[in-house]
Amino acid sequence: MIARERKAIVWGLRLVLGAILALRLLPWAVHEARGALEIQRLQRGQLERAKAGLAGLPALEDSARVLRTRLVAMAGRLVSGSTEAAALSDLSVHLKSRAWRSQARLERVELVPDSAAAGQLRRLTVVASFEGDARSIAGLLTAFETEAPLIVPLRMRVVARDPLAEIRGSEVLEIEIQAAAWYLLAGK
Amino acid sequence: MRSAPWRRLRWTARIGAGSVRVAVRRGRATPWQAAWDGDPASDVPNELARLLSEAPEHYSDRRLHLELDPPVLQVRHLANLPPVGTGALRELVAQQAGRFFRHGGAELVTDARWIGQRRRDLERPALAVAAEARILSSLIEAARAAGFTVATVRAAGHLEFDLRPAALRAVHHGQRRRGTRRLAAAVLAMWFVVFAAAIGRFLAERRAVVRELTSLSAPLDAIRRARVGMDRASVELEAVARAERERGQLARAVLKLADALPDSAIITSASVNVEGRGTVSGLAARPLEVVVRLEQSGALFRPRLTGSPGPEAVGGARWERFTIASDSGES
Repeated sequence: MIARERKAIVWGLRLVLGAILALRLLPWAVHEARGALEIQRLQRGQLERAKAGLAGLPALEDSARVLRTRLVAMAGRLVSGSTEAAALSDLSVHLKSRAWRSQARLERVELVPDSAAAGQLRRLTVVASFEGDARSIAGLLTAFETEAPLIVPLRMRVVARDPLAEIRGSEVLEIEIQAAAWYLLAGK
Repeated sequence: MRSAPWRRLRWTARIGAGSVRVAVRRGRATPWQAAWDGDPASDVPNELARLLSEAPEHYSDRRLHLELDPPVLQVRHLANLPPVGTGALRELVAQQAGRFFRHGGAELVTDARWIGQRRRDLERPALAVAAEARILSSLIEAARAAGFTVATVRAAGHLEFDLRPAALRAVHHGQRRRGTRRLAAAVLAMWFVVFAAAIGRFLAERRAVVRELTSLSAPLDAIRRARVGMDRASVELEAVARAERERGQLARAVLKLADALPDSAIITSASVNVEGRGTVSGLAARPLEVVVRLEQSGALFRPRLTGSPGPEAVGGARWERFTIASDSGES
């Protein structure tokens, strides 16, 4: 092999190696480097956000303290029971008690399907039927507005058994109230 | 003149007819010089070696620049040469050195350049110089023996001419090539170090970030859970607050309805919700009057009489049975 041929081979090899370097290895390396830099940029952002989150911890603790106080105050406004049946039972007791104080008689409590929920609170809606008179209506509504736990009357229907009884002074009213109350579902 | 220590040293040896002048220069200063003038037939290389060996040793840069004067140097003005490039002119003069210079059978080292402006005719003169290769080799050897390396061999007064013998050129070429390789290797090594440092720094940073993220993950999870709990609690509180606001609405609607109904009407049934929608049924002498009162008071939402009231005698009086309902009221 003469020197010229050897030189041509060497230059050919250099060209091939250069091409591999420039067209394959270099783009690959640039791509990898960019990917790694991007990942690091994202991780840095994540870290910044994490630090910012930690920096906001005192404010979060303050908010939690306020919320805790409000939650404690809220507890008295819920009917007891952590299941629907238990809550319904407690609600019936309260309805009966309010009826008694309003000189009415609780006849029945029927559960109405209600899927409303707020966090872990579930709403319980019932239709309660009472028997009483005009004073009973006033008493019941006053009790709903002022007493704890919180029972919200949504609709009321009153039917006079004998329309002319009022004139005679012995009216009997069938009072039907749809009411809703909240209870705390057993922890999930 | 005082020598400036930051300037580079330049050793020169000027070889003439029976004379050798060695000097070391730093800028314009000449801190040391020595000369020998003797018989032109004397051994000039020996005298050069002697003078160089007397040179002070604290000048560390020992590269010698040889400058030749006649008769060691032969200078010729050449004319009628073909108009070729400078490289070809050099080759031409080297090949026909015996024609242009005296040589006595000895090998010559030559160099040549065109002088004056380039012209297309043959009138352009050239300047050629030559020296015997044997003499140059002995001078180079003498310098080497005195601990010097010869950097250049030039014609005194015409320093653009290069009279290094082929062997010295080969040595210099090899040195230059080695120097270039060394420089390239150094640059490569530098880039390698830079890249390695950058990659090392990048990896260290990444490790630090990952380590920090790992160490923060537990408190962050706790904060995230706390936030979720707080959001849930806020929703719960809002629901209870809304219920609190709504709890008196029905009582107000009922009160409004009771106030709006005239005393002359007998109500048999009534139904109302918190929005004031509902129905009222009963007996009245003039049912339309009841509708008007309910509408004016706003006790019932958009009340209207449903069906047609029918006359009825109750307790000896004439009444009309009616049902009033909201526009989209309940039955």
